[in-house]
Amino acid sequence: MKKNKKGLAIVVVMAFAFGIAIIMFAMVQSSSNLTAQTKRTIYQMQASYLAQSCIQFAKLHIFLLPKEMYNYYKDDRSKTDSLENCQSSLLPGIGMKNDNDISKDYDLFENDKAPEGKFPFKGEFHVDELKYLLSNDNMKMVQDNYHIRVFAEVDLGKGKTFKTDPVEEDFIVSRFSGR
Amino acid sequence: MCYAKVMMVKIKNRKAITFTEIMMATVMLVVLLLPVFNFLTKSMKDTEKIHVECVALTHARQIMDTMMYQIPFRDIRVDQVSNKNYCYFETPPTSDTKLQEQLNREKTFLNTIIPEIFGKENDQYKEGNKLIGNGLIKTDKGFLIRTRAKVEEIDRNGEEKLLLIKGMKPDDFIFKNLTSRNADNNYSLVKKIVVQVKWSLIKGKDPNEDKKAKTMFLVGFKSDIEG
Repeated sequence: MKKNKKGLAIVVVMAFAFGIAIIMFAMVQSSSNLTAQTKRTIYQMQASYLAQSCIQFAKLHIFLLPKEMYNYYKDDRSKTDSLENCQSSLLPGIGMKNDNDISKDYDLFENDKAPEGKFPFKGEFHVDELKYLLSNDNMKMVQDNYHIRVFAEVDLGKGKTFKTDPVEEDFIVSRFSGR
Repeated sequence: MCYAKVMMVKIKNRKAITFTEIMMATVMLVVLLLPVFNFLTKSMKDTEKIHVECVALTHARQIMDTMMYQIPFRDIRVDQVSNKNYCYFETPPTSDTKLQEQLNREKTFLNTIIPEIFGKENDQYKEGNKLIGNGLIKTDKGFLIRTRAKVEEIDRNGEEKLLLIKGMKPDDFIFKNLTSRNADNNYSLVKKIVVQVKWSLIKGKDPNEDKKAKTMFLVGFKSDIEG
């Protein structure tokens, strides 16, 4: 029996075109994903270093003023807000949140394009909480244990920001030497 | 018989396809495949672009990590006289023999690490005998990447209210009252580090001479928590 093959050509052509379209779409998609991924990696790095800067800055408070910090928590150990004002936007020379903090054509490779006090991009960090955990006072040196949690973000423009996950760390400080 | 019917009969009865039809099919196939080949070529270029981007980003991260965590606070210096857009690395002078031993070790470390992270191409990391925060890297595939780090000392006079512990007067805890002057004769306990990496997507081209060169920045604040 002879089969009726009328109209088969259009089906074959459509299937072929559909196949090609899918391959092209997948290729374009993977290419644009890569560009977006690189940008995301850069924002992630920028925010991550701001968060690490925040941890170092908070540690500086505690290392310089270990006794004062302990006194803050002495009577109420459930407090977590001793460094609530430790926000980059409140600190002279460190704030990089506003338009006048940045220089849009910032370039270290050209003279006069990296003015002192300016930044190449906008960002912010703050201490979310600083918990006093416990003290080891059965040793020669009294040591206090703290837990810190910080956040940082980078401004991507047009109202968008890239925020880090909370960055947390536990550390021990000698109450008298601060080290 | 109408024209359409005549054509149908002709098509049904024919035993081969014409040269014109073959040519038309070939042209259609070429038109379809052209964007695919274009895309494949672009993908190869993209692979090279990603390669140089990866190397640049890795170096930026290496520079920042090393400056934030490995190089001692006192060895990251700012040339306040020349006001250049890059920092330099040098151990401070001392008369203490024990400290001098430690500083000698730091010097050896700096001599090894600075060319590694900033790039040793054309000795751009040196200015005379001084190690500077500047460099040029040539990747395996021949792309050029420029690196630079600028440092600013925050609150040189030690008079700003930077230590903000809740419930305490910040005026009592200014750097000037908590630390002595450093080797550069100021009270700064925080350094702002800006790292810039610039790369060209054209092999062998200096990014400083390429108007389409790509660039990225990292910013960090290093606090003097080393003691």
